[in-house]
Amino acid sequence: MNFSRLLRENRPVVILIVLVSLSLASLVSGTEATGIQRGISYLVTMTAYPFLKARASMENMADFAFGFVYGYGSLRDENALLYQNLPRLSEALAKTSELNQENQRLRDLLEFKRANPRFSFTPVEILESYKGTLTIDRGRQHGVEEGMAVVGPEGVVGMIIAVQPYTATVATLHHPLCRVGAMVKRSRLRAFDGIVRSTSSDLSSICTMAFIDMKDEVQIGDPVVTSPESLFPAGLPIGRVSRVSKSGTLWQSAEVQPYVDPYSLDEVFVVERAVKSVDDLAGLTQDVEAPVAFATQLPDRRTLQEKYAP
Amino acid sequence: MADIGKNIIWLVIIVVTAIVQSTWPDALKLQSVLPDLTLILVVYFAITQGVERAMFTGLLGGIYQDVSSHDVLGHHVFCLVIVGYVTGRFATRLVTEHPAIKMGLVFCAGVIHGALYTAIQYVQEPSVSVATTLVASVVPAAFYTCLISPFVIMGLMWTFQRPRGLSSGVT
Repeated sequence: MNFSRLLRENRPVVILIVLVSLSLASLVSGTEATGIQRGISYLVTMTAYPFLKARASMENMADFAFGFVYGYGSLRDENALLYQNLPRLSEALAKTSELNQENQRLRDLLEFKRANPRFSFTPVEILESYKGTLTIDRGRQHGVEEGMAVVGPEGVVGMIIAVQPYTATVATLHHPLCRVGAMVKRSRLRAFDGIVRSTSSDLSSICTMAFIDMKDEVQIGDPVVTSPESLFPAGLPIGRVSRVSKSGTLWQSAEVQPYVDPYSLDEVFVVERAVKSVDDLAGLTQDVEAPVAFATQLPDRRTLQEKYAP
Repeated sequence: MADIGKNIIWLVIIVVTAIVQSTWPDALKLQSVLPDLTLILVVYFAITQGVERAMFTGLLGGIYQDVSSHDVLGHHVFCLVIVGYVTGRFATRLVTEHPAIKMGLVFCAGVIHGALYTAIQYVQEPSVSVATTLVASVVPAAFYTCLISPFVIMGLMWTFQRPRGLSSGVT
């Protein structure tokens, strides 16, 4: 009874002794890794999290406000510096874009060359394009000769019509001098003269496949490719039939829209060997190359009269 | 019910003060001297609500500071509980309401707290220079704490709606 009264009268001292004893016991034993410490740490971390977030937000806001007010001068200088650099960067960007396009073109050419391993291609650069002709940077000194075919990744471009020592002139499908032996790929149909040529002398972008027998069927959209009789490797795409004209005579004609726009080209290939030599044709050489023509050989079912009648 | 509400407010104030003390030290620091807000709470409750409340304030605030400063549990608790007891006993003998007396009490409490803290540090790690720590850290911190104590105490008085809280100092 007296002990209880003693405790009640000296409660602060008792509390002090208990708390100090617990603290000392904790200090002596070291309670860093105990469950109590972990639990308290978890509680403290959870309660402190909103304050830490608030502190970070306030610091960011303060930095922003400070920078907005006091950083005006530096921002103006930075803006002037960026404005000075703008033309240089724009030029660099344009150059990069140009290089990307050139890279893509060269990749297309390379892909085209890899896809046609049976031909020997010489890559040339176009120096000038003028009224349906192209001037390329290779000439007689580089082995370029008249009559050689010029092709691109999309198909037939034209043929060499004049050769200078270091340059050559290419007549494109838009030029009257360019005539390409062609056939309709679907039916292997040839015109009477067997060629596709420019529509007229007006340098039109449309070519004509004239003198098609009126009994033959030509459909709009039919792809037209080079024929084995042409100077070009057989099967190269030329264009697509865009219109069929029946004039009421024995002949009909088809307009062909070429795949290649010669005025948008930068690099093309000169086909060094478009046809086999006479010796090759005669079987006198041990050429192990595959045939030049790689278009599907379909049987020609026309009668002799149809084939040779004018 | 009123007592429960007061106790809850008391608890929240201790937690918030300890969080501010532990999470915003840079905002409070002045010339690398950090005030002890929990100590001001302990002194305030010792003056206004007595020894027991001061000791429990020291217990809660000390636990929080020990955890947040990665000290061994009991380091701050020990110092603050003793400071709460001593301050509470001493506050009962105050005969004036002048704020300077309260500030002086906070300063003394800060020195006692710092001395105890340094002593425990010395026991744990004898290489600590006690004199240097007392002069370079404890006394400036106690002074800084005493300088900001009027503002903290005014806020606490406003919170507990006891404008005459500093007058008696008796539980």
